[in-house]
Amino acid sequence: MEEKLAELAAKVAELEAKAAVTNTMFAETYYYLTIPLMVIIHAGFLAYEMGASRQKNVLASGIKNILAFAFMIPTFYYFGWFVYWAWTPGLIPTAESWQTGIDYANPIGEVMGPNLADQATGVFWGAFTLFAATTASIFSGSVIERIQVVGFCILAIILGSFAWVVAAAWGWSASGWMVTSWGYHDFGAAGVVHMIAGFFALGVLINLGPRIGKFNEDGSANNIGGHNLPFTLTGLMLIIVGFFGFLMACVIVPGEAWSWFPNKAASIYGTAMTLSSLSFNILMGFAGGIIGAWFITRDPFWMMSGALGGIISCAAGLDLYWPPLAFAVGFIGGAIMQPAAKMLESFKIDDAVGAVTVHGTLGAWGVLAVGIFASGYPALQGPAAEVPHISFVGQLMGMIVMLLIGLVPGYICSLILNMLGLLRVGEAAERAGLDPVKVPNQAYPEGISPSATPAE
Amino acid sequence: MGSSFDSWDAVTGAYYMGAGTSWETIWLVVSIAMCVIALIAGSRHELKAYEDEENK
Repeated sequence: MEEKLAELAAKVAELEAKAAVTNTMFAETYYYLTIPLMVIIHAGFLAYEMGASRQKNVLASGIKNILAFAFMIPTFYYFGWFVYWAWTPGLIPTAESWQTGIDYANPIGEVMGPNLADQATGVFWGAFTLFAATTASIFSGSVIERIQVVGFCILAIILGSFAWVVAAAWGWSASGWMVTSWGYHDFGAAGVVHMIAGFFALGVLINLGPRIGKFNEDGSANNIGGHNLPFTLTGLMLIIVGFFGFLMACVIVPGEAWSWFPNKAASIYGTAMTLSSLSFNILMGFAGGIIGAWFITRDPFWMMSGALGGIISCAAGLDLYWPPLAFAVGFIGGAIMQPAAKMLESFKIDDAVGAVTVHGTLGAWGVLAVGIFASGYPALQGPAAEVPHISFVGQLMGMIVMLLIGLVPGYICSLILNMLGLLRVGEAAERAGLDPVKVPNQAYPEGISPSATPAE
Repeated sequence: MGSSFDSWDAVTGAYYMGAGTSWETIWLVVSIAMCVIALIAGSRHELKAYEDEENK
């Protein structure tokens, strides 16, 4: 009998060990797969920006976008990941939070390299690096056709490997002070990614100025159309495909030492979360955004931007919304986009792709919407008496902080670059086009033939 | 750079080249320098291109 019990215990131990390996491999694979899905966001931004550029600037816009992605990866390795762990207490890290940064993200330590004892850090770092690259790409589109590529890269590094990471440490981490103090809730990063990138872009645009010919002497604006709207629309659809990976990466899978729970998924705050809730609400927000934009504009550019805007509007509460409410939140976001963009234009801000509006304004709407519709929910995992709760005031304060963390560094850093002569391209180059001036290749060496009607 | 172990059976933790040695810092600094040099060279190239266009 004792022998049989021992045999049974050994079998159970063996099965437990196998289950643990399976779970670890599942967790590692889960986050690993979010990385190529998020690369699709960049394929989309690349197509979006190049399509929105005039023929004379197509490749220069592409180079800028590719370099933003490329520089984000090493800089997020050098210091971005460290900032996420070390900056949680506020503007200045404490000794304890600094040590946390060393423990989890030291770029000269074993945690940041191939290590059989750690199957999580690499995939988490990879996913966060792609979040960072997304912020840089959001900003990238707004400044096309007149920004210097190196000045842009410096700004992208500041945004992607520092500014948004500070916001994430404060509001997208269970130990972030905005979460623990105000109950700030931002599941899908409407504030910490979209608002930061959108308002950072606004800060830069103030110093960069509009493209030549954008505004007339009487203050009225001209439409500077891109050379390939179908390419732009396809790019927007790719961005949306990639956002399924982005939002999937916001879920903490169960069963690992670093998981919230042994048996159920959770949000980054340890609150209830399922992939089904994402499926319901991403799709409903997506549809609401398109239909809201169509209702107001009838314009395919704004309709596809509305798809993205609808998801951004719902992003902060994707884990909590009733799907028809997500549709309504997305619809409102889609409907307010074009009027908000026109208002921005009335201040002589030339945002070439509407990034300030789609990401900044709708990100702000998304953060506030959680305060309006989800007040009272616990903002963190823990005993009811000890955890903060979501509130409108907490979300409003959070929205103001996000606006400032985006706008202020964007404005100050671009002002310094402008003083150093590293922000705007020369006037002659801008008039001639950036491709013929500095790109050793051609987008369309055989030209593009105009359409021929059957009658011709 | 060599290896501190002769058999993969002994490996349970970090196994990359130079683990736990000053090579980690050296390669970190080298890669940062490559980024900085690339940015400086890129800036020189584009500023010259703009200047050439102004002088046409």
